[in-house]
Amino acid sequence: MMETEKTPSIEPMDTDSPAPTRGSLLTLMSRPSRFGNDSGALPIGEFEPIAKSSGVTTADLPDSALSQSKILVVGAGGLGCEILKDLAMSGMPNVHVIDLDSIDVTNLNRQFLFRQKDVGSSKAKVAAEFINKRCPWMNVVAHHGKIQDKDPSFYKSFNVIVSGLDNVEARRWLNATVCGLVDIDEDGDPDPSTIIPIIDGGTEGFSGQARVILPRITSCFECSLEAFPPQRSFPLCTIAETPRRPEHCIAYAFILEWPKQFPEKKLDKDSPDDMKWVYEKALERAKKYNIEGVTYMHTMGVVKTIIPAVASTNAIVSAACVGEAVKILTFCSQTLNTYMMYMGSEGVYSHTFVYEKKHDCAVCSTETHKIEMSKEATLNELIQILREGDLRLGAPSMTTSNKTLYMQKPPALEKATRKNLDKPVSSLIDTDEEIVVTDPILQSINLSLAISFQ
Amino acid sequence: MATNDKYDRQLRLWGAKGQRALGDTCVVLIGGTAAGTETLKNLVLPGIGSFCVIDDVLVSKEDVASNFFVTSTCQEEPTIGKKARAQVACENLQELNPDVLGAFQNVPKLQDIKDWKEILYKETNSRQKLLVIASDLDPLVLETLSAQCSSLQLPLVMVQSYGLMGCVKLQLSGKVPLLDPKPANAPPDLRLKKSFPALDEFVQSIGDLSKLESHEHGHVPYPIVLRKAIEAWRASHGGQDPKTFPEKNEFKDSIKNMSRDIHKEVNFEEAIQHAYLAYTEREVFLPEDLVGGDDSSMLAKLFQALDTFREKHDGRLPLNGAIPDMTASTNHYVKLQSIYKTQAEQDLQEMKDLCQDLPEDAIQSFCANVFSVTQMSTRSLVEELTSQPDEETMDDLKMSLMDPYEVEAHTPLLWYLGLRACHAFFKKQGRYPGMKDDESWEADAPLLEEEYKAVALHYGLADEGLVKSNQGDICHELTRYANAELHNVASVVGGVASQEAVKIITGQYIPLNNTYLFNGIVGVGGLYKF
Ligand SMILES: [Zn+2]
Repeated sequence: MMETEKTPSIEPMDTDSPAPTRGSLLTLMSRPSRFGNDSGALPIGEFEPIAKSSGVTTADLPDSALSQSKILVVGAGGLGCEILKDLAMSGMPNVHVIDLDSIDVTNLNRQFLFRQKDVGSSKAKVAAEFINKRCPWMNVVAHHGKIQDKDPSFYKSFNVIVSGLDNVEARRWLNATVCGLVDIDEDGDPDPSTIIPIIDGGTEGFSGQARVILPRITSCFECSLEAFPPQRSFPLCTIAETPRRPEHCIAYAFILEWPKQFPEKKLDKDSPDDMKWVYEKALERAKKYNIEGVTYMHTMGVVKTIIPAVASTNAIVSAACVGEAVKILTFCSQTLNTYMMYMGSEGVYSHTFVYEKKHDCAVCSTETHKIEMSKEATLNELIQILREGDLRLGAPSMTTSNKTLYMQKPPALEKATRKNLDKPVSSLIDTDEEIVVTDPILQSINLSLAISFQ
Repeated sequence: MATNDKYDRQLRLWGAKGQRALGDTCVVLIGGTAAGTETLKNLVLPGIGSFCVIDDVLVSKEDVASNFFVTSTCQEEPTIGKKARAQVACENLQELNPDVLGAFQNVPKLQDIKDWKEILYKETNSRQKLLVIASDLDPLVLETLSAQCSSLQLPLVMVQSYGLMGCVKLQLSGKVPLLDPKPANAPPDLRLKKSFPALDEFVQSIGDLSKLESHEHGHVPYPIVLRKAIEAWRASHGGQDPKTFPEKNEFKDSIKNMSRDIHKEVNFEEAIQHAYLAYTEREVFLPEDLVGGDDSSMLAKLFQALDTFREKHDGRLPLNGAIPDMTASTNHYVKLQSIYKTQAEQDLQEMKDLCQDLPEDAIQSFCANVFSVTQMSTRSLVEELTSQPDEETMDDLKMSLMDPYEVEAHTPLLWYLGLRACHAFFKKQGRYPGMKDDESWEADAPLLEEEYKAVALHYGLADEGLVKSNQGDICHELTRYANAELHNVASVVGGVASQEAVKIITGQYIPLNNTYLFNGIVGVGGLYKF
């Protein structure tokens, strides 16, 4: 991993260039506006035009907010490639990019920093190399790995985070981590210098959305969790007994047949051999039931829950996100408040609205979460509620002010607290005693529960 | 990787048919600015057949700073002030996708082109369809191009980035049929009211539901449940369907009563949810100008055939043939599926016999989407600028100002008028407002405001309070921009423009009708038909 910081240096440009026929980002930054950031509904800072300059890009200005700031790009996929390009073209040289994935051939229709020869290589590394080569003023540092493997101090070092993730769990983790970085003073107010804006984009087909999250100030990703419902799966009885659609046969093959045939081996969704096996089994079952429509392409779609993706939508959403980053850093115009969506399949529908904070958000609110349960309900049942209810936690651990109810880790502590799982919660805590929940999904955030027994 | 097809993720949107259409298209880009190269990037990646970039300037250092596809070196040679922007853009775009053929034309001066036909067709072959993209062209060039695309019947996508404002405008080639609009929430096409014999027979063959054993009872497909329920209703209501709101509720209750346990029998729950399908039949209104007149367009012929079909089948229309998933036993579902499919195939054959000279693809799409097929046309930019909008359009524009955005000054229409005013300013001054050296740039703002007032008058909006109270601030802000190229705005509108291009080329989904304005101050967008 290359971790060297370099101050942006620009090779002197050829001076044979004709006189400019139109303005640039520098023109905007050097002229006062009646629409400066402080005049907007989500004011972050006061716009002060910079001195007139002979530079061409903001990277030419060593003191500008854009050349000074450090940006993290999360994800180097369809959105990430666009975001990196947009940052380069906005004169923001100090960029880190993190992604776990390797390049697949199906990325090439939109992830335009990759070529056929790059298939199999790290997305983050190839994307960073491409940008650094194409735009010599850029210094993109690649991190090939999981976002969860970086500790909070890594995230703390950035001025803005632009995220182009394709899954809800990673976005929740990032959101909770960055919200957890905010220092709250004694009055309960956040310390502005510890707030790192997250600009989050997402797309599906011809639709997409961009949003600005100012942790603890605006709504956060967790506040809007219900807008991202968990994936619906087919009822097991349909798959096993009354298959009707090709998807049911495919689900039968990979959910029921695969583990039976290969109890030791996890299905590799990227292996053509494994996928062919699933396809053939599905086809066999479909024939048996006279069901039409099992194809290899459809099999992949069902097994990998493939979301259709095109270059154009990624371009819209990414540029909207980086546009917000530019405004947040320079104050040269107002800030998106807070959520923009774009739908392009039936004409164009585009809508912007304030996504309200959820008053008892598990991540960005300090309010106690209230849960009702029966006097007999066990700790295990409470864990089920936390996992399957609207909180959608992963592996909750629970303590009270004076005792440990259940810990998922380390193994010794898990073993020691396991006996509590079958006990009624009402027997474990005092009346009105709050339970503090921690969970990998919530990161450093502690969630307070108030249980009322009926 | 489990597939070798790099187009897999987009084929799931527009299918092999759409992909073929892309491959048969040549996209001509005029103006190699960031908005234009971004639009083209999003078309080269998914695999259009070929493209041609037409431009009249050399690469500048400003281009290199804000246009990803205009680089300071090209094939190891410096470009700034030396190489044509058209050539550099072409080479960098071509490199994105080896399946796509790239070409460029560096012309002396776009403004001097009086006849576009030869230039537009120069790099295409006879099999190809043409789509033209105009990027950030100055008003004189753009108006000539708009008029000529209109008479050449070529679709034109106009894209513009202007400071924090972006605009995409479509000018379609005449009346364009939309045979595959893919509406998001179309009800299932089950024809329970205007039925057909094979379905009637199947309903009969199921017999009395109350005699079925319990597993079977819970797996009767809901269309059958609805048919049984409506037959019972008609028998006890003098052959009438439920009409009033209380009657419709009563009908739902009757379905509930047929169930043995509504909490367990999902098929009955589905039947209640779709109860309206038992007594309503969707209608198609044949557009009068298409059926009655002497229109010989493809869509007119299709509608005429539909008229004949409908008369012959006692008001029934060709069937789509696809049914949604529903709770059912495998046997019943597969049987039902084949009944609908067989009928749809028969209907399609009949329609093919009725319009033998039309392409099979079109007839198939028409039959599959008979309830949502429509056509679209736009006014050309030249028409928009030279004649005032008709009364209906003017009313729509006024309406959109009655419902302003949260902050009135953000309302995109107000900024659209501003962009038109900047074009008017250019026509008089030969430059955009705010281009003077930095101390005196603000002096252009009042001049621009005069143009703004004239533009507002043209669109019938001069007396609107919202216009009057904001025009000063808007003109000041637009003067501040000096037509700045901001990459992010260019990339947003480039994304929008390429989505629209894909919709036009593939003939799928519904294109924008006809102008989108992106206000990058706060990221709001507006749609207007001019
Ligand atoms: Zn929250």
